[in-house]
Formats: sequence, C-alpha cells, structure tokens
Amino acid sequence: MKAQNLIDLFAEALEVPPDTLNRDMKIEEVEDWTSLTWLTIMALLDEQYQVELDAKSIRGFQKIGDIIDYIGTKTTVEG
Amino acid sequence: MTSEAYIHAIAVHLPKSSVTNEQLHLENPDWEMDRIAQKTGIEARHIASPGETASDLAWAAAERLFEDNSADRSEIDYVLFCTQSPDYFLPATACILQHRLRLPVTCGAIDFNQGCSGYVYGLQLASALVRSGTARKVLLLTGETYSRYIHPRDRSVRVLFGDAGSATLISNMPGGARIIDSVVGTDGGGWQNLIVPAGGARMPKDADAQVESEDENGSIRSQANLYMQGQELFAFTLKRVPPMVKQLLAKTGISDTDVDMFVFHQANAFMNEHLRAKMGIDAAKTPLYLREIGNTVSNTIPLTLCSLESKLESGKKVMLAGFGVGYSWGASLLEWGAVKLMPSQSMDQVPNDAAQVLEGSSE
Repeated sequence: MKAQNLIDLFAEALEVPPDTLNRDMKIEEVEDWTSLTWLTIMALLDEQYQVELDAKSIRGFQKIGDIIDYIGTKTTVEG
Repeated sequence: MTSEAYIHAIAVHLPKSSVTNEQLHLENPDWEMDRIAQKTGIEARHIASPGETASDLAWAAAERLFEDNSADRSEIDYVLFCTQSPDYFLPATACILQHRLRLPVTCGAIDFNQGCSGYVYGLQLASALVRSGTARKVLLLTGETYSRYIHPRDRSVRVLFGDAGSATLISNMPGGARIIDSVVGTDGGGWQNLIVPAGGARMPKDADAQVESEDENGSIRSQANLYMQGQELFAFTLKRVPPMVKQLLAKTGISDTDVDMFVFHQANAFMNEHLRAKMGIDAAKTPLYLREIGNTVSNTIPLTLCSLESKLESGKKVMLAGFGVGYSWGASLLEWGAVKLMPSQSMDQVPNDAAQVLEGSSE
C-alpha cells in the first residue's frame, strides 16, 4: 500500500477531504479526531489491509506520520 | 447414557424506565449523541429503578415462565444465576431466587460471574448437568444492572449499557431447541480493560477509591465505577470471535453456510457489523437487536432470540456467540425446535429491528 492510501483511510474515518490531512499534523490538533475515530480506523485497517492496531500503540502516536510508520512495521508501505 | 439437552422456553424482562439519547444530550450537551447513535445503533436503554436489582429482573422473567405454564416450579432441580451485580457478597443470589421463586429445596442453586459470554456459559453448564443425568430441569437465569456501576458523566459506557433479566428452561425432554455443542475460551490477560476496580477484596471501596477524575476524553469516573477501554475490547473481539466460530463449526462438523442464524452478543452495531463483514456472513443471518435497549451484557442473546419468533423454525441451525469482559468468550450451536419465546412486556413499544442493518455500512 502507499502512504497516501492510509491518509485516504484516515480521511474516510474523519469524513473530511484527504487533502486536509498530512503526515506532519498532530493528531490531537485534528478536529473531531475522537475515540470513535480510532475505532473506525481500526475497523478500516482490519478490513482493507488485515492490519491490527492496539490501544497501546494508539496511545503512543503523536503525529499522523507516526501511525503510517507503525503500519509500515506491520506491512509494506511505500512513500 | 446418550441424553440430549433442549431449550424449551425463554422469557426476558426489561425494567420500565428508559433513558433516551435526547435525555442524555440534555444532561450532557457536549455529548454528540447523533454521531454516537450512528456508530452504536443505540437510541435508548432501559435502566433499573432505585432499589431494583439484577435478581429482581431475572425473577420477573422466571415468573413469566411459570405463570405461562412453560415451566413447572416443582420440577426445577437446578438454578444457575449469571450476574456481575449480585444482591450481596454472600449468600449466593441464586439461593435467594430459589426461595423467592418457590423452587424445591432439593434444587441446586449457584451464581456464576460472567458478562457477555454468560448466556453461552449457562447453556454449556446446563447442558452438561442435563446430559450427565445430574439434573433434569435446569432454570438458567441472567440478570444485569451495569447502570449501578456507571458514572453518569462517563460517555464511553453510559451510552452503551442497559439493564435486563432473562430466564431459560433447559431439560432432557426432546422437542425444544437441541444444544448440539458449545465451545468457550478465556484470556485473563485482558482483565483490566472492562472492570469495576474497587469494592471487592483487592481494592476496598474507601474514600480514595471514590475520588472522581476526568480522563483524556472528558469522561468522569472513580475506581468504584465501571471502566471500559473500548479500543482494547474491539481489538480483542476481532482477534478471538472469528476463530471461535470456526472452532465450533469444526467441532460440530457443520459448514458456515449450513448455519441459518448467527445470534451474536449485541455489543454495539458498529462492532457487530464489522465482525459480520469480517466473517463474510449475510446481514440477513445476523440480527441486530439493541436500538431501544442497548448492550444488556449477558441478556443480549436471550433478548435477541425472543425478538426472532417468526424467523426461527424447527430444524434451523442457530449459532449463539458471546464475548467480552474477562476476557471471556463462548459459542453454542442449536438445532431449533419448539421453544416458547416470551419477549418483555415492557417491550411492546419496541420496534422489531431484527433485520436492521447499520446505516452507512460499507457492505
């Protein structure tokens, strides 16, 4: 998968256009990124890429790029 | 001995008062109830009144079985009561229920502490008692009042859980729904993720334990309240439930396409829908029944079964699956038969949304 696919996936969970998100954004500063958003992301990742996200990793994420890097350790993510 | 165990009757009972999403929004203007309802599929939950306990709810369900003559109290020789909201630390609430339901003194009576897997556990235990000849007529009761443990300002659990009770008669008399087989599993490594920490022996309910604090999502609770780490529960469910379903199919030699109905624990619409899609099961085979009642823990499976009267016919294969607090999980396969189903009387106004599918679902 490509990093952009993941940005698209986060945008789908947030119901915002993908170009409003980028790697360097702080998650806590993204409007409406709630605990429900995380559940949606967990479901979409599991459904589309068979990647499991756990709560401990989620607590460690600061920026959107951190999530992409973490997923990169589980599967191949291209630039 | 090749005795089999059959379910003959199921009655459920909901407390009268109901808390709607509108009421929750009035109390907590910062709770975005429309968005939450879209995910959870829950619009209201029935809540026990002050002084009304889980055993009161189970008692009311059991009395309906007796009043209807679906069960004869003099013939019950074992009562199993599943609850995480017992009346007292001791005695066992099942003993109080034996007395209150006027069951024979020759009757065995025990409580067992399980949550969302509890109904399946009860069927497995009842089936084992009946098949071994230890008991002939087992009364399986479930009753839960998580509302007592929930802080009114804790959004993560208050929007989800409702109170309810159920009663099921299991015996060796052919004719009902045959309990073909069951599987259960446990991963106590997740014990901290759905818990009431204080009030038992490990953590006394002292002044310290009752200090309230606000978490990162703005929810308020103390150690004496129910706590749920929703992301962990979701990850656990995705990891354990599909293999459990496969395990039971393999054990019984039945293929998934031969199962006519999958009655899953009603956790929330989002989780159930994702689980269904992950396992590739038809939406028509996985009823959702929580819009007006919420997640009622060990009561969700009997409540859903009671909503399915017209859809369940003799000979159909029905799989029940419970999963949650513990972590604990279990599944039972039934061959449906003549089962008297008694929906809650206070459910008269509740629409039968058995075929409801989550809006906005990707499948």
